[in-house]
Amino acid sequence: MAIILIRTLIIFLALIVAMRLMGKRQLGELELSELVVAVLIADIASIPLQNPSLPLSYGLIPLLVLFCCELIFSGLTYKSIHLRKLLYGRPNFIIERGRIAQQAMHRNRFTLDELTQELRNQGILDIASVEYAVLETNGQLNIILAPAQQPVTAEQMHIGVEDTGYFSILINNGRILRDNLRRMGRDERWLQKQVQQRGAQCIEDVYLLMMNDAGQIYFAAKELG
Amino acid sequence: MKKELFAGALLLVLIGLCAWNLWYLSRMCTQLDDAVAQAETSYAAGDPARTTETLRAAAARWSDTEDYAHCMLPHESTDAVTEGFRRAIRTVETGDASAAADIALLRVRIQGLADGERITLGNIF
Repeated sequence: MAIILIRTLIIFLALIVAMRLMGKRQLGELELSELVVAVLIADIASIPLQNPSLPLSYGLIPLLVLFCCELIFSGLTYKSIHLRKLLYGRPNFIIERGRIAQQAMHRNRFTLDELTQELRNQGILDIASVEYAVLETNGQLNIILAPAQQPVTAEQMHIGVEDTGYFSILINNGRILRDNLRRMGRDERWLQKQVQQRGAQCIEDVYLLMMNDAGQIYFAAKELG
Repeated sequence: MKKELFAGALLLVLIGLCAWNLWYLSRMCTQLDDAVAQAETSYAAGDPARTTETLRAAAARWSDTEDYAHCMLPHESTDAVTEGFRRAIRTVETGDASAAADIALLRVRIQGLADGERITLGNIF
C-alpha cells in the first residue's frame, strides 16, 4: 500500500516535469496536471481489471492519490503566481505586432506548418492580417487580428441593439424543465397555452421549446411518435 | 479552498493508513514467522506432534488475517502462504522427507509478504 502510494507520487511528479519540459505543444486543451492525471488514470484504473491476482486497492489507492494531487496542485497554482509560472510556464507570442517571433517559435518547437495550419483552422488565410498569435499555457493558439481586419461591431456602427438575453429550454423532448420555467417567471398553464397555439396537443408532442428574456420563442414539434 | 483542504486531509489519511498497514502487516508477519520458527525447531528436535500443533495454531492465526492480507497484498503471495501452511502440515503429519524444506519455504513466503511492503529503494524502483 505504501509502495503504491509512493510510486504514484513519484510517477505523477515525474510526468509533470517531463510534460513541462516537452512544452505546450503536448498539452492540447488540458492544463498540465489535468493531462498528467488523465494519462495516468486510464491506465491505473485498468490494472486490477486486467490482472485479477492484484487486489482492488492497487487501483483505488493510486486513483485517490491522483485525485488529491490534482486538487492540491490546482489549488496551489491558483494561489501562487510563481508556482503557476514554474509548472505551466507563461503564454508566448508566436506573432507579435504582425511579425513572426522566430525565437518563440524555436523555443516552443512550433513549426511554420503548424502555425499556418492553426491559422487555417481559424479561417485565416493571410498571415499578414494577424496582429498577435498567443500560444497559451494549455497549448492552444489564440489569434488576434490586426485592427483593420477585425469585424465591425454594432457599437462602432452606432447601431442600437436590443438585448434579447439568453435562450432557456422550457421543454426538452416532451419534458418540462421546471427550474427554467420558474426562472423565466412563467407557469405550466402558460406553457400549455403556448404549445396549443403552435398546433401541438400537449407537452409530450413538443420536441423543443425555448424562450429568451425578450419573450421570443423557438418551437419544434416532435416528428417521431 | 475547501476542496484543496479536503484533498490534503485525504492524502494525510492515506499516508496514515499506509503507515498503519505497514506496521500491521509487519507485526503479523513477524508473529507468524516466529510461530513457524518454533515449529521448525520442534521438528528439528524430532517432535512432529508439537510441530503440527504449532503449525495449526499459526495457520489459524493466518486464517483470521487472510482476508485483510488479500485486500492489501497480491493474491499470489497470500495464496502461496495459505498453500504453504497446508503443505507443511500435511508433510509433517505424513512424515514426508520434504517436511523440513516445506517449513523453511513457508517461512520464506511469510517473510516475503512483509518484505514486499517495506519502504526500500528496491521496492519503490
